[in-house]
Amino acid sequence: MMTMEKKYTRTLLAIFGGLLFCLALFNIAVDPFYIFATPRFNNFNYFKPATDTRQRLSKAHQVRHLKPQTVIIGTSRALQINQSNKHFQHQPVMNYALASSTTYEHYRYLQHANYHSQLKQVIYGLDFFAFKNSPHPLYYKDYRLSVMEDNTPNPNKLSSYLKDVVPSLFTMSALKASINTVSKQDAGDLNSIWSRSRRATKIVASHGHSAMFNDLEKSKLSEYKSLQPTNTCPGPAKHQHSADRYQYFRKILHLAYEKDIDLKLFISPSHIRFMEIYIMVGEWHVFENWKRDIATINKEEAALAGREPFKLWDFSGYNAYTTEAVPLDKTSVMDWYWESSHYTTELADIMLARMLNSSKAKDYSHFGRIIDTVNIESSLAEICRERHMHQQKAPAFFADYHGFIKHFFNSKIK
Amino acid sequence: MLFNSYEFILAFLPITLLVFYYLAENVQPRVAIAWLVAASLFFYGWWNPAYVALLIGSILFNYSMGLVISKKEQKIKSRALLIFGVICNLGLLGYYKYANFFVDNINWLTSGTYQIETIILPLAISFFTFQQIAYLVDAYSGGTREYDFLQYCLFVTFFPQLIAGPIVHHREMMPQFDYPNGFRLNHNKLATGLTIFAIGLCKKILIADNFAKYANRVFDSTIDLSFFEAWLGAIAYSFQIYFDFSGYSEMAIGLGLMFGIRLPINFYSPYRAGNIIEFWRHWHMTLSRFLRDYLYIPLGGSRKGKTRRYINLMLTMVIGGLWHGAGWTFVIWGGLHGIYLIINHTWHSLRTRSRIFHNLNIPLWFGRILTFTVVTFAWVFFRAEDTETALKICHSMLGFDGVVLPEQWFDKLGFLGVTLSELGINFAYMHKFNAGVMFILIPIMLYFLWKSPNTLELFSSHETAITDQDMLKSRISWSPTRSWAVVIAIFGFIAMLNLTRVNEFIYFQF
Repeated sequence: MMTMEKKYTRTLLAIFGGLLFCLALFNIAVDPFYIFATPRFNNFNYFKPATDTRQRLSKAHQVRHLKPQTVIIGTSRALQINQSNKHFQHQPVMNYALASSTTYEHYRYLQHANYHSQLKQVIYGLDFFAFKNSPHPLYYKDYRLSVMEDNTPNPNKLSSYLKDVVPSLFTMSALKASINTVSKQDAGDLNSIWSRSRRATKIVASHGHSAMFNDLEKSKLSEYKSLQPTNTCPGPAKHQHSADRYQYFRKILHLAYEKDIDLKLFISPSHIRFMEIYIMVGEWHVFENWKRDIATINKEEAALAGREPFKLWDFSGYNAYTTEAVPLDKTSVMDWYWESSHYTTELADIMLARMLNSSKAKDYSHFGRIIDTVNIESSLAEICRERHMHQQKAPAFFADYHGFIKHFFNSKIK
Repeated sequence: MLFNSYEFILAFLPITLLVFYYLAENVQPRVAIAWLVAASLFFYGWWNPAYVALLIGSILFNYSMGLVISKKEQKIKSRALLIFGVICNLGLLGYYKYANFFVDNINWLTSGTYQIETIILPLAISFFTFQQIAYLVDAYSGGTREYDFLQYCLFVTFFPQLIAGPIVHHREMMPQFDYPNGFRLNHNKLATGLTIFAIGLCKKILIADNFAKYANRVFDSTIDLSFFEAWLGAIAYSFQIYFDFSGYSEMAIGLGLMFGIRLPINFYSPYRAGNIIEFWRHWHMTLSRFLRDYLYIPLGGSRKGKTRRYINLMLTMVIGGLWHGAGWTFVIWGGLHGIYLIINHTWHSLRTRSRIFHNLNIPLWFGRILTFTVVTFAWVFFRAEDTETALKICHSMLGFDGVVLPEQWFDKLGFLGVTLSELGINFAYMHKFNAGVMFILIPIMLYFLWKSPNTLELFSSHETAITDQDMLKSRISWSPTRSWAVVIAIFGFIAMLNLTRVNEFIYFQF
């Protein structure tokens, strides 16, 4: 006969195990982080809003399942590129960009993608700050990538996989993410252009573009101010570019040549208000030098590989897009920018049309220029001329904006 | 490997348990013990495999020393060997735990620039060193017999107690390894073990970790704190450390029971104590026992007059403080408790000598609050990163940095708010806490700790932990019923959900 204690233990373990089993089943069915590649159903788990804030986790796993032939890499700016754009030749396409990432992460994630897939094309958004000597983001986890930095396979594949999988099955945050996924299907996720526009429109409606521009610029200015806390007016900042970061850029080029990947490089178009910060904090020449450096590295790596350099597009400059006026009301929605750092998907589409040489490319021939070591100086000079012309055209804007920056530097950091 | 990890709960524990009972019942109890030793070494090596060799070396050394010392023929030789053995153990502990601290202080005193590389402290070294010193001392005094080597290995490495105690004594452990019942699965022990483990897990995850959030905000603060912020943070830490450590000890006791082994009790409602002497009889009891038997009494205890007794007490507490970690904060913490104990003993002797004091009737609640307050004050040194931070927090706790109450209370308190304001209390934004929650939580928690039965009292009619406490019979007691199973399973499940979070955050929301 079964003792009371035996019955008790069985009941306890059955309930505990049963609850864990149901939880795991629910989390697998919803798959909020895109780890298990469970089938997606409309109004249940099609969109994955939890992946927006867990990009490093979900993209490392998603790339294993999707096996894309084309990936888009870069920072949060490159996140705006629509992976469903019809001009991509090699399908499937995955937007593989990571917010606040550096060239180190770009290289490591590209190695990981290359390990799982036969990459044909990579669209790489180059951003000045991704080359700065900042520490790795807190959420970067080396263990979750299938290949080590020296290109050898990760020796702890199973334990690494479990490190991500177990918390995705049995934690409260996984449960919350699953519930959120099911209940907020109408909000979509970063990968759905439809929902991105809808969401961004919602945010613009509640904040207004003007406040969004101001918030981002203040946070950027705080960064510079913390580097020169004793100065009360803008002056040369002490941000350093790291040799290491350039090294990883070289490695990306090397990998592309080695694997015969068509690499499209582009410098993101910041809004001119963002560019003006570089000028006011004395970092414009560093920004220009950075362009010179990447053009040189592009040429050097091509020479080493015995190939033509990859096309390097520079979309930064002064044109109808980057000088778009910022509306002061909360109802107007800008065409090309959310705030001074992040362009819209529509502008990204135009950039793609140029880079992928679509039939519409000619319509936008005034936007973006291909730079190399030969034309870099004339290109930089051209941008300075464009700025000068624009300054003459809109003196009030420049005076106001410079006043805003100076006022910030004279006030306490908030 | 931690008890509160997925790998432990979902893999290590079930596998170790199943194989253990399979071997015990189908092969041989001795093989089952060997398996348990191997599993314990794996458990230890999970953290840093390199230090498994250190643990094995320490076991081999102490076991052979014990064998030689216990031979009665040559007493002088045995004494020399005992001294050698204890010095070696303390030397090992000293090197790994105190070398960096020692060099830093020499440099500070002599303005020197001596440097040694940072030594990583092997996990559990303080525990297994103390256990084995006790073994050597008892071997010398004839308190041991010739133990089986495998059983000795299990005594040191048995994973439930290896990392954070309880500090077990060979006399209470070795007889249990003699497998009189061949390690047959005992359903009562398994049921109670599982339940106590789940309760310990809940204490750690659901209570301690939540108080930690409050405590960390205060102890990691870089700005001056106000009176209440500092006290609320310190009290939050008092609760955190109690639920964390007693939760861990209960998990250990529960795990031991699952394998049919009873471990000694380590906590018995210490915050119920009406004075500091009582507190130390109920807090980290196995450490207190070790310090009493192998330090305080050999130093002379209370046998050599009052002054020597107080010196011995102070020494024991300071060394006890230093055992917790190599730092002046721990020395001060131990010293404070030494002072508290001396005051308490002086008070007791005053009461026995003077009729006035003898007739003084101090209510229990007053003693409890006073004890909790001074213990909380001392915890500041235990928790703070350095003495500077601890002194800064104490400064605030003593009211030197102003007294602030939440600004929204001013209107709610009405006339009282105005009066308090006139007395110099400010009403401002308290950024460290949701102060209201803490003000309500603290009395609730204290009431709960004073009035509710502790875990072992819930099991007073079952043989769970080794104890000489007179267990209070609780009105609520555990029995193997379906409702208990449901409640424990659900709480265990909730604790599991909160073990770790996939907490990757990126601020960019587009």
